[in-house]
Amino acid sequence: MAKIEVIDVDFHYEPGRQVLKGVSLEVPSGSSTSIMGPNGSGKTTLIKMFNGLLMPTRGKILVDALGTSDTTVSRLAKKVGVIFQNPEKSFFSETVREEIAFGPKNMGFTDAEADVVVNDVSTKFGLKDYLSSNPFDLSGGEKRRLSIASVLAWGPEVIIMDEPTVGLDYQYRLFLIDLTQKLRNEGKSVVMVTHDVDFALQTSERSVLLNEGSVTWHGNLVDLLKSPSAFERANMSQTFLSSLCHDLLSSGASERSFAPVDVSSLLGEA
Amino acid sequence: MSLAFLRAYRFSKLDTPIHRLDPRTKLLMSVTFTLLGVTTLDPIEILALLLIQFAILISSRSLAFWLRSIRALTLFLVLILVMQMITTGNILQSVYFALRFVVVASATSWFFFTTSPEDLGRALEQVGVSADIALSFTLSMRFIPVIAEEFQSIFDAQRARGLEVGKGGLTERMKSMLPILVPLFVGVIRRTYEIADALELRGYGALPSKTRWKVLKLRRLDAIVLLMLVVLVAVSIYYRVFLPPFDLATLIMHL
Amino acid sequence: MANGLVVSLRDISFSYQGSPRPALERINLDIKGGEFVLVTGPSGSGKTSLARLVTGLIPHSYPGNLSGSATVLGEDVAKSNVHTLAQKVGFVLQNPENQLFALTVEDDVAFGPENLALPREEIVDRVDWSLSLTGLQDQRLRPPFELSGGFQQRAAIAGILAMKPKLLVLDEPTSSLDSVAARNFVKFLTKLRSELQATAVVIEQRLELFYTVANRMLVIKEGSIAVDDNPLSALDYCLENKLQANYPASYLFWKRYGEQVQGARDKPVSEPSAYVGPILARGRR
Repeated sequence: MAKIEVIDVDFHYEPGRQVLKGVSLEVPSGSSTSIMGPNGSGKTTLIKMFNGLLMPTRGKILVDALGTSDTTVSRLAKKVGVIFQNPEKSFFSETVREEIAFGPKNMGFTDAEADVVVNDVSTKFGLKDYLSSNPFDLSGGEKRRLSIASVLAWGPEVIIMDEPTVGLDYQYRLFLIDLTQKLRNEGKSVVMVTHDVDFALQTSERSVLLNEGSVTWHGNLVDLLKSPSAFERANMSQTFLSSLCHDLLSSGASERSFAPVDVSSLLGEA
Repeated sequence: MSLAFLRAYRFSKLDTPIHRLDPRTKLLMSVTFTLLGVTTLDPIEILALLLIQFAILISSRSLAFWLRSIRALTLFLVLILVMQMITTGNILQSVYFALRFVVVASATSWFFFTTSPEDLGRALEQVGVSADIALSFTLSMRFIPVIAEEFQSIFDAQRARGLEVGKGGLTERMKSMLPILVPLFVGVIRRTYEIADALELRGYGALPSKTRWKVLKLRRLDAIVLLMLVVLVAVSIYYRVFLPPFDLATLIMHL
Repeated sequence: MANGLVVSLRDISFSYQGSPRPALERINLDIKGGEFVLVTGPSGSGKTSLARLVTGLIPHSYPGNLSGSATVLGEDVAKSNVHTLAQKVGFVLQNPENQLFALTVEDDVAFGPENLALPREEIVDRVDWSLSLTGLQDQRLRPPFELSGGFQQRAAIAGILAMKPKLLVLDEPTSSLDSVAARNFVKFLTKLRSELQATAVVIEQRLELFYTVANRMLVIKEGSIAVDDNPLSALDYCLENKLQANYPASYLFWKRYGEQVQGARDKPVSEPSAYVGPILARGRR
């Protein structure tokens, strides 16, 4: 049974402007999925439906077999953690500690329980020394780590990130690639919405391609790499890396280095 | 309270005589009608003003929107009626009071419906408001939808962290808005700094006076309408000063 | 500008007011007319500070401790002001939304020329020219809020172009664009440069898009210029010294397998298929 199931979902904000049409897909437990597509294809709208912020106008969404329209956003948020774009825009606390504790406290953690997770997650993300600092004083990378820590703090089983690489540097990208791997090893499901094809290739095992509100392709990453026309149909362009992977797979390379794509192994550095 | 009535105040690009009028003319019209309406309880005047608003609404093709806004304001109208009934006990007076409110609401509604925000900004500039104030006005209008969107984003992000709004007593509700209002405020301030930089980078303030590439010019239609407005005001003054007050009850009795 | 230099920085150091750490440290940089300079480096390394200096925002809008000399298109930055420099240097900020002030695209493009008190006919010409150059004629009457991200960015650029700058500075222009839009942007920028004969300084993280079109690349680290060379040599240097950078995939594969690929001795081939043979061969060993 998939962790999240999207069953024939339509969505429009106002009649006449369909944002999503007949979308069906699955997010399996303990997997990493990328949702790709050009800007305006409906990716952000789709993920807002995973935690109940938006309800489909037709069809349904099941999280752990429970329909999103049968429960509340806060109950769904306990299982499905979403980190939106430019998450530092939602900082409001005076200290890093309070910022991280916000989510857990909302989810019903006691002060003692919240303290435990705050210490735990701040250590994991290198923020232990900043617990009494003001979130606004942190550097760009530290702020991003804080926003991720703030969501992972209450331990959701699904972690969704909307365009996590936009606006930050290479070091942060490496951190995200590493983090995705760690989360998968812990059995969590990771969903990354991104228009950065190379980043998707290096973090996901499965992929969904959206174009103008419809799913134009979904399945295993390896199969996507084998079908270049899928990119065109989704109005996306191939990258050097995706073309290379396609050519390698067509020439009989073993699929093991491709789900996700391990660049260092292809370069012979592994 | 639904904000749907605000839709009657949103600009709609059409080509009607009213749309073609200079925004300054329309501004003067709106203000005049509002002032005339607010200073009288005479049924003939109120009805005359109402008819004029209808004429304008019809010729600017905004009647449908106006109807929608009035429907949303029925609560207010009923409230006014009831209040007046309680204080004066006079049914007719109360009706005139309510109708007066409709006149004022309509006088402003068609103005915003037929005047584009950029023309409004230009009108302000040309009326003599300082360049800085006119720019602040345009910038506010330009960024209102952006800030509204940002509010929604922050709201979504905090709800995704389990925040629940609208629960509990008044203090609790207000506290629950903090995680939304604080970042919104900080974001707006930050944005202001960036906008200020961007303005300087486009030479704003480089020279004491700037060119205006589009200038509003009064045309024949404006002249005609302004003349009609003057006549209206004159007739209204004459009516109020020289003719006895009109009493509907007396008229009905006479019939 | 007698020596033909568009930008000339000598021993520039700067720290923002209230910050002990220098944002820029002993920067020495000469940029000639017509160059296409790519500027990269980790977040917070000083790239944006460098751009602010060249446009006069530092020190005039961002006060602090500035030492050294900076001359941009004949203007002494410290003695001049943002308005004067803005007539020669166009700075397109990272977030296009905050650079669009008016309620229609064309009014926004006219904003700059209006501020320069140019005659009306000149403004009309510049607006038309700028809109046609950026392909925005069909959007000219639309409010900025309704434009998509890509169009908003073009509108911001159109507004800057209308000032007819000789030097264009762009801060991470492709950061919010998807892959197709980003590629189109590179083509657009190349076309723009040749039409305007302008010098371009582009701050970017997405090196794979730019490293084959720029003639020069600067890597900024902790406020100083770590590398200043043509893009390939700059990347070579970074690689040899194990510096962290957003190495383009095409570059990495060329470095690793280039010798085994025909025609790839001097520069990377854009055909990934060329590397298939060598990669599989390595695997079999």
